Amino acid sequence: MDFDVIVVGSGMTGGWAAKELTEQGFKVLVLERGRRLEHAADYTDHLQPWELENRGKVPEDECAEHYAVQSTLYAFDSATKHYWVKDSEHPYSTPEDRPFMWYRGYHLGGRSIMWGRQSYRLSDIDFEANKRDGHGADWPIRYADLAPWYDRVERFIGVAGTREGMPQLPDGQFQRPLEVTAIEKDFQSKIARQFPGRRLFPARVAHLTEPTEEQLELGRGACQSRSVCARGCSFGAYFSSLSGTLPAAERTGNLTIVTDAIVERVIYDPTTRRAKSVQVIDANTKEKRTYEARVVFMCASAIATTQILLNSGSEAFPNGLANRSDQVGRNLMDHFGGLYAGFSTNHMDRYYHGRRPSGGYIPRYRNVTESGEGFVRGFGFQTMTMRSNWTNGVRQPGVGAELKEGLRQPGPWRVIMSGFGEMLPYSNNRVTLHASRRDQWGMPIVHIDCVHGENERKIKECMEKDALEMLGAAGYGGQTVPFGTSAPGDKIHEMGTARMGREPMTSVLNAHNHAHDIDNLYITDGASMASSGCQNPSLTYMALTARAAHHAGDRLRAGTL
Amino acid sequence: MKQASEDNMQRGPNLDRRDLMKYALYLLGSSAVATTLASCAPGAGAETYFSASRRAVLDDMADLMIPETDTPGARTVGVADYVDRMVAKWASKETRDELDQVLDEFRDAAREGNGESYLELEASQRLAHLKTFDATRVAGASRSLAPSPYTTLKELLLTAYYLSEIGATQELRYEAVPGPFRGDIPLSEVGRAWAV
Repeated sequence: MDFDVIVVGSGMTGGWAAKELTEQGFKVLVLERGRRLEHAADYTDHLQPWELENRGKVPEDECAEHYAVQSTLYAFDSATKHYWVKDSEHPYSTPEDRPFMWYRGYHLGGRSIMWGRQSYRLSDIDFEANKRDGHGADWPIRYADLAPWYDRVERFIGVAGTREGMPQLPDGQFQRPLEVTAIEKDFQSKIARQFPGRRLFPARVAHLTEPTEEQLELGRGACQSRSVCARGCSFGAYFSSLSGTLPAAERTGNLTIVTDAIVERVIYDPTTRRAKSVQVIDANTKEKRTYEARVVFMCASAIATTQILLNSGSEAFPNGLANRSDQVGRNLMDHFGGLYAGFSTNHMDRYYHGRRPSGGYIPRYRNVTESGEGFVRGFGFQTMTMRSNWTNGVRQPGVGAELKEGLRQPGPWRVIMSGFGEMLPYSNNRVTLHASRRDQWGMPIVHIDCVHGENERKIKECMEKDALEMLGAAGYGGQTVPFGTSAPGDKIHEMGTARMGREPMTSVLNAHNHAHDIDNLYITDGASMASSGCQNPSLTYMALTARAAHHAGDRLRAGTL
Repeated sequence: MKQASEDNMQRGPNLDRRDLMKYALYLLGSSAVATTLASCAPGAGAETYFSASRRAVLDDMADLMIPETDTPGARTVGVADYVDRMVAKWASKETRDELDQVLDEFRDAAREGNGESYLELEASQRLAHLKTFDATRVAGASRSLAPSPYTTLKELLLTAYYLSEIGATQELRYEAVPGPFRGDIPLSEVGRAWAV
């Protein structure tokens, strides 16, 4: 056998599996369905605004023909489109009246290149939620199980943030926070005064402000406030697989990466009752080949992992691999929420230097320090503040020297709040294989059927009311801004389709992301989440992966795997 | 080698950040800079879209909208030419038709008001006409957040100007590599609005 472990996927979790397993001395093969992407060399972050093709706009006909879903995304422009799939080449289906937005990129590093970099821990309020209100299956772990792994991940990736001592959002290992703006200080103090229990503080983001020796050795440097993150960062100032985990894995000498390798199925051996090999299709030649290893880690992202499991059925597993519980594909979750904006003409003599790649965060307070108004769980807000500039001239009357003179100075402060609500796990929100349609490689495409329920509707109502109330109380006015599609998938936090749980009959994975049904199969991407929290999930995916990689390592060393 | 360059990035605020960036890219092994720059010019050899008569109106409108003052205006920057080539490359047929139509409406409205064809009017009359047309169309569009044909055109003109090198660095302020973010400083330290 050539490899100890096969890791399917090279993104946020695949990179962590590769790093933690190679550093324990295991030979690891990472399979990536997309092309090889070189750190820095393949990025577009060096382009100046005047060098962007069509000032950043992607041709309208090209969007309609090839990027019907991806082009609706904030981070899609002429300098980033090569990170997003062509929907025309990678189709999926949904019921006609129930859209689901599936945003993704197929290349080495996956969505760790384009992620929003917000990094928050879940707390016991989240890990106990399913048990408390009866939705979904109880998490088989609690915060204490994951806390040391959050520490480990944060120290390695580098998270800028402040310690706040809030039970619903545990503190972590932070580097110096990014500075706040004058209007943000204003908003902070007004919220603290008028809304006890609610708090605004700097967003916790995976940007280096005080790079450690380890980070410098990997070629990473401090954030330069260019805010071109969605194009990749040649400074390695934000964490990605390409800036962090894969280089760390590579320097052990134990890593093999194969790109353009689409995993078609994981092959099960009924005699040994183990996953025997992984069958791939070469993305370019469409030839098939297999790789063998002692252990398989699925890190392909929630929906893609689900597609592979469902496509790996056999006599022993007629409903898909590791699916005796019938939970594979069910309980699909995402976050959801609106955008709310206000403005202020206070502090007009204050400004900032640099383009901050983040903003502030207001953690959940509903069903923590304030009641839920008829719903369970809750929501948080990301905030952004900036002074408006020449773009204001488009929708204000004015031409000529007068217009030019007016736009020379920055305009009023804008205060933007972006809500993130927790979505409950519903067994009918489901990923299945399409009955007849296949992609150009012969894989059955996924069919995604997912809707928000009554609890989500109530949360969104309360979120809007609260946002407008806070903006109003601060004297910023406040209105709801139509933005995004508001369809599930919109927040790009899809998760839950191979959940962890205590019972093999009602969950796919145990407390170590290890399949109940198959001894040598681990699933550590978003599919493993038993509930969604309202925090951005990547940090939790990474911590779960690191923890599972050591669980597998212990068993490999003990000879029980 | 790499580590030394990272240290410079953090401790060398006196260096020209843009040069530093190119140096950093060089150290990181990027040879993509030159080739990408060449391929990204919206322009050389690219097709234009507008008919000669509409292009004449667009040229004039751009320069009235953003005239030369103590900094260069739309003509020096080549705003109308940029927009013309951008419409050829970027705009769908529907958007092109809308832009054609709004340019025609602008031209025809001048004749209705003054009895003379637009380009034969005095500069002051043309500016007054643009001011009225702009006020009407912007007011009409403000009820909805969706772009109107006129706000699309105005956005193209302003974008072509303010995100040009001259617009961003002479008229406004722009730094390619600002360094660590400073969140709360006197506006007087910057003096003008950041272009991005």
